[in-house]
Amino acid sequence: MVQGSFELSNNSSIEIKGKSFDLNSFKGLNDILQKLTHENKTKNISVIGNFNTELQLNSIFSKANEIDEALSLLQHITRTIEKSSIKFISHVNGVVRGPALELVLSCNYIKADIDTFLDFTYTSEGIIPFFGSIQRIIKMLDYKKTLQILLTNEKLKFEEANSLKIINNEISKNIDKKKPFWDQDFTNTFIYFNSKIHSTYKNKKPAYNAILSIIFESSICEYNVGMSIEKRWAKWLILKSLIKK
Amino acid sequence: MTEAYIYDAIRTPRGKGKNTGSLHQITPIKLASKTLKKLKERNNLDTKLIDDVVLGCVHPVNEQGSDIARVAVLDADYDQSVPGTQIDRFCASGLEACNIAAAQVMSGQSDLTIGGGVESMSRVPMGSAGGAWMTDPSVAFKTYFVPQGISADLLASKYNYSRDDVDLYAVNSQKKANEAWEKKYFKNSIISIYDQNGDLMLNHDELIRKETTMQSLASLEPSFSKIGKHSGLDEIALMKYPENNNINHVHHAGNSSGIVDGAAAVLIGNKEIGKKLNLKPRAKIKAFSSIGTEPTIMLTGPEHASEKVFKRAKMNQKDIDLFEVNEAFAAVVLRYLEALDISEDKVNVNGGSIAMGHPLGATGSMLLGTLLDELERRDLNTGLITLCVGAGMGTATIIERV
Ligand SMILES: CC(C)(COP(=O)(O)OP(=O)(O)OC[C@H]1O[C@@H](n2cnc3c(N)ncnc32)[C@H](O)[C@@H]1OP(=O)(O)O)[C@@H](O)C(=O)NCCC(=O)NCCS
Repeated sequence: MVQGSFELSNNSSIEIKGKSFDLNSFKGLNDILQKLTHENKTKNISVIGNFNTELQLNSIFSKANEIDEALSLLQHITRTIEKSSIKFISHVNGVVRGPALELVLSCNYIKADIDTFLDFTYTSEGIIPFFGSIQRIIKMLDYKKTLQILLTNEKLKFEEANSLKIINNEISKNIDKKKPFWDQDFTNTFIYFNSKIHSTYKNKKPAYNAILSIIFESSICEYNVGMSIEKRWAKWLILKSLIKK
Repeated sequence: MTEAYIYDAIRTPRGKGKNTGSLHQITPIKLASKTLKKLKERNNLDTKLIDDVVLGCVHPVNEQGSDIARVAVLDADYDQSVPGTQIDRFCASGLEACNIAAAQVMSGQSDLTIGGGVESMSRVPMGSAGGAWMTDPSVAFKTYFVPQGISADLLASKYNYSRDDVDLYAVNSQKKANEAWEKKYFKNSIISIYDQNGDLMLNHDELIRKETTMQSLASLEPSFSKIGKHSGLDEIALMKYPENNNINHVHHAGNSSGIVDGAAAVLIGNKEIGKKLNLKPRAKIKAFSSIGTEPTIMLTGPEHASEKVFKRAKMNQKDIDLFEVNEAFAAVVLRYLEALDISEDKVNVNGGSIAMGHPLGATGSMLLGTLLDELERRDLNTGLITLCVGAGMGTATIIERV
């Protein structure tokens, strides 16, 4: 598997290289982002390269006492992209999955080719998005569609992603301003999805429980609190799999 | 211990819980305050003497929110010194409110109290209060949450109640309720509801379908089959009850409790206050109990709550002349009859929620009033009211005429 890395060219683009990413790759990306935001010379950054990626879970989350730090770094990266005054534009095509998908989701604009495929396969692999993307997807779409996408491991083709305005559409800088959403429909939606997941997986797939709980618990919370809830459940999931091993 | 006496019990008629229902235009606060007003008028109450008003309400949100009991007290022009508190024990809230009101008297901390309840299901629909039990995945999974319709079908499946069994029960409930209305058995408790112009909104339980037959019920589709199968709820119930091979969906709109709007109030006090106000005690609250039971099947609470209250009162089912067992679903009552080995002619003798509807927060106090009226009409002595309760609970109260 080709080791993943990030490369900054001409202060105008970040290239995603390789397929499989460990913590060091992200430390490298974080350094690049700190430099860019510190220098504040650039207006736009393109994110290009290979988007069909995965996390080296074993190396990133091998020690229980380092999980918090690792998760914080991952969330910090996407938050930096999202909040920066620099406009991040990702140019995607083909399969977009894993950590690259999460980076892309935090960009201000996703410019996508017609062959683009957003692959939300997380839960079936026993994981959840680790970079805080659930709050983002909720904001871009809504909690119902987010539940559906993440619990059914959807692969959004270009047409659907386009019609949902995830791609080829400016993502508002006001993404943080999230409205609470607890109403009758919320109750019914949770009864439906809880029971679907409970009956289908019989509590044997914690990633699904984590997704449900994150979306449930963050429902009335501000965006950054939602991020923190995501982090706690991510840690719970990772600890569970560490114990299993 | 001080004795707690029932001095009066009244209720609104039950209006269809839909936007076409006759009480839909009446807000829940008005349902509650009109009931309290009527209780005051009927008994010529000096409201300064009321120590507390306890009202059950299962969806205390939006216009039913923010302590509807206290707001109803103010809206009913009671003295401002009368406090009010809203409680929730799901479907038994109305009975629990009376139990709490009685407990205040029994403990000597109050002289005169009102227990009751209110629910406008057409305006604040079932489920609008949300709640972790049904929505928070971590809780729903742990407790094997299923909605009560699935529990009712699970109960019928576990105890082999067929579609005919539950339908027959429902046909009888309609018949008995209709007859009770025709013979004016409810007249002592029912208060008519008028609007602000004095125009009549409703003076009878409008859900009753006297034409109900086994044939007419046979054509109704089960209400919970689709959600049971489609969203995995049946499977969850079977995970908890693997000895059952499947869920037989027997409940439908005709043999489940109807969705309605209504309110009720019961005046409770010690002996001295009755004398002071020149009120005649009608019965005393002998004992009451609530209990928790297995939450997935959920609806078996009445038998266990009854056993518990029998112990407390040092009585058994043979000492009870009449029972009111809330007809949340037909299978609930069938199970109760079987578990306690009681003859059907002592239970729900004037029909129940299948025919007349179940305004969640109010039903318990309505049943108390209905039972008391019937004990008096038949000149019998002792009665028991019990309701199954969400999340697996039951509440039961024994009353004794004096
Ligand atoms: C069972 C339930 C889902 C049915 O809801 P619904 O389909 O909206 O029921 P409705 O009362 O509107 O009846 C639907 C139709 O069934 C038919 N129907 C109902 N009762 C009937 C009867 N006795 N005879 C013949 N037909 C009947 C009618 O055609 C009726 O339509 P109409 O009112 O337009 O004439 C609902 O009543 C329910 O949830 N009850 C339980 C409430 C509950 O859980 N309470 C807490 C207890 S623990």
